[in-house]
Amino acid sequence: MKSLKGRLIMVLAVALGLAGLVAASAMIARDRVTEREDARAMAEGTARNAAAFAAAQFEGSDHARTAFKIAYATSKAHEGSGVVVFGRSAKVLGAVPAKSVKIEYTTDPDCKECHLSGAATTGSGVGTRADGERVARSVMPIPVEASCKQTGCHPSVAKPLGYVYVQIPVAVLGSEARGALYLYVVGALALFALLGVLAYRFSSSLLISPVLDVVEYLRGLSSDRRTGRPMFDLPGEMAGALDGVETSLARLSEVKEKVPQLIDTCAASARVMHRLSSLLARNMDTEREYVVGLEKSLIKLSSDIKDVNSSVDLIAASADDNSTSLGEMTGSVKSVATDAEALSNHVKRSHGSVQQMVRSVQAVAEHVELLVARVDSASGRVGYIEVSAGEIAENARLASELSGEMAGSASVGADAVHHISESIKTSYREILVAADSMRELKKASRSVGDILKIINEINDKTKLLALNAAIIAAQAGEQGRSFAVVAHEIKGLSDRTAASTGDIARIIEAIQESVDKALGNVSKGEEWLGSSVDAVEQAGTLLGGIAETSADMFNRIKAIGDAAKRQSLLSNEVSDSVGQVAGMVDEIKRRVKEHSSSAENVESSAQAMNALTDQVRSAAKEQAETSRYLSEAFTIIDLHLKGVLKSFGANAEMMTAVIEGVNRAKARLDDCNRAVADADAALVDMERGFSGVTALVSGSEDEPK
Amino acid sequence: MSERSHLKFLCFSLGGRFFSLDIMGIREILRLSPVTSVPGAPETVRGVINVRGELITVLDMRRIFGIEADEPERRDVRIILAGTRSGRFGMLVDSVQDVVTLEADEIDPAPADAERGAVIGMFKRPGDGEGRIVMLLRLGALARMARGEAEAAREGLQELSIPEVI
Repeated sequence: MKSLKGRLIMVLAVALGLAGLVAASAMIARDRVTEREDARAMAEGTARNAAAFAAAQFEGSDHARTAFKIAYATSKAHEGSGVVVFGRSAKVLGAVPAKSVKIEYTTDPDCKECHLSGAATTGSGVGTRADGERVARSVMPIPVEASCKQTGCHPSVAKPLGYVYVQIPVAVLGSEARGALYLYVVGALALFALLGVLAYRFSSSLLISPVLDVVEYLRGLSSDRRTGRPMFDLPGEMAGALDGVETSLARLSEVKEKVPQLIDTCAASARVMHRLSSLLARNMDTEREYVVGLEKSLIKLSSDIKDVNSSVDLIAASADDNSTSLGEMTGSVKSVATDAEALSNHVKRSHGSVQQMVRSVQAVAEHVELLVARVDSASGRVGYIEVSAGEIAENARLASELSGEMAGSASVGADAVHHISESIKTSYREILVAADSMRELKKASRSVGDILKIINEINDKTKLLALNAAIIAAQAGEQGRSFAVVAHEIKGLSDRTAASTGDIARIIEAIQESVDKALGNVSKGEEWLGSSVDAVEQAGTLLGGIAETSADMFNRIKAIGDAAKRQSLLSNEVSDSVGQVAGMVDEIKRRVKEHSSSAENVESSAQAMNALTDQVRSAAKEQAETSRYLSEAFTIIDLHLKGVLKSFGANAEMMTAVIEGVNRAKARLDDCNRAVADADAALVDMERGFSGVTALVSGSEDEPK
Repeated sequence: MSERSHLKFLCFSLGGRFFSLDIMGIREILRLSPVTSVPGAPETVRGVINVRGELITVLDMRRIFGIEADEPERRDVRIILAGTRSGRFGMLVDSVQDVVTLEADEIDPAPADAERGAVIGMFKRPGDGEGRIVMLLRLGALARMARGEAEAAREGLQELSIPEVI
């Protein structure tokens, strides 16, 4: 329903557009009818405007200048127009363009009339100019203005001041009119476009939804999720396009199925290529083997070539025989031509095989180039190995020297460590002795302290005695005086003793403290020395180990150095061998090049022969000399084959190709032989025929007799 | 005694202070021997000691002068044995210094009721750079004190029906 409505709207829009076009063409038709009238009116209007302008402008006496100005300004209004301003007695005051208009108005019959009569008439019309151009013309009087009347320069007011003549080509006017028409047509088209847009807008929803359905369907197709073709009314082209899409998708799916196979094939090819590349990437030895094999096959090839050469000689000889027999051959042109045709085919085939040969020779040349590059890089590597081996030997020598020094240093160090260990042990023993003495000292000081205690006790008692004595002496009075003195002395002694014992006690205490400290330090020192002895012994062991290891290292490095020297010598030899290989490869390369050029020669001669056989084919119809050319060609081939065989230095493939070529040549010679036999038979026939004719002729000669 | 122009005093120390007694009343200085404490006796009596068979009451001078008890077993602790007409007694002192000789005018009178009336005067200790003061004690007061205590002790003994010893 919707699509029907949309179609109706579309039809309506198209109808409107057609109507617009019809209207536009009607307007064009109408314009053609009124073109003439319009041109006339345009010319008249222009002239009138110019006259009015002139009336206002003509002031003063310089009429010519003013007239020219007016004419110029008026002529600018229309392309190709001419304007002439006359005076009142039909005298030309100014004209643009000056020459053409002058000629025009003098030759114009309308103008001539008034010009010659001296009385200008006014009016407009359309006529044909002398050059055949249709022009609209108009002559308008310049009215006498009030100001002019006042000044009295032109007293007679019956006649106008002058006349303006305007001439406009109708074509120009027509084009201007057409410009307007185009405007109409464009307007009509714009209207049509607007209508179309409106129609589209109204019908977009109606038109787009089926399109969207189609799009959805296409998406389904593309994502392999077939939703079934939508049931809608589609324009014919779109349906066709959809059909095309479906077909393409079907093909695509077919292709898709083939893709894995293709990929497999590609993978297989890739594997093959990989294998080939790994084969190519083989190392020097394999390449050397290749070279050796190549050399062997070359030797074999040269012997084979000798054989082939002899057989080709035979062929050449038989070809020579043939050529002589052909030279003797006369007539039987048809057979010869046929044979020449066959020969040409064979020659072409031979040419093809020669081209193949050339290609294989080129391939061989490429491989040889590759081989040369390999050999070069290998020789470079060998050189590098040589240099490295030299460096290794030098480094090994230095390292062995260093390790020797190291071993010496290690043994010296071991001796030093042994000395250190001994002295540490000695000092340890001495310290132990010192510690014992200190312990003795401590004991002794303790006994001194004990003795001091006893002394103090005694002193105390002495002091008490002295005091009591002093008391008794005091109580005794004069009698006790001397006793008191003694008592005092005793007391003094006891005080001094007390002081001394105090000093001794303090000193002993200090000694005992020092001894205690010293003993503490000694015990610590004992520990430290014990650990030092252990460490030194360990160091000694390690140094001994280092000395042994470095001696071992010295030997090993020496061995490395010797090995490197041997390697250097070996690599020199290898380098020489590689150089030889490189020379051989260069030789091969040179030979292949020679062969290549010979093969090219063969090809060119084959081409020449081709041409020759063509000539033969054409000439065979007439010339028995053809056989000579063939003979020559054989000779050339023979010569070149000999050249080829001499310069052969390539592989068995080329050999096979050559053998094939030779076989083909053999076959060709067989053909030729057959042709010759045929020719012989034909000759026999011909002779027979000739003899028959001769018989007939002799018979007829006899008969009249 | 009349010709005595010089007075002699025995100096001793108690808790860092110096005291002295007239040497004429002093009998003997003894080293500290075990003191047997007497049950029921006042605090000022340390106990009794046996001096060559005679029981002597020993006064604790620190307690008498209210000096806090210092380490009692110091090495030079002494017992000063004094003898008066009323009897003998002992005094436990920190240490005995020496015998000093003084002129009479070197002794100053003690302030009233100083040291429970036991102090009769004071003087500067001769030869002492620090100029410490030595209290001169009245021996008779100390003797009365010792006797009073002895009587109290005897009363206690009578209660126990023990015959009087002194």
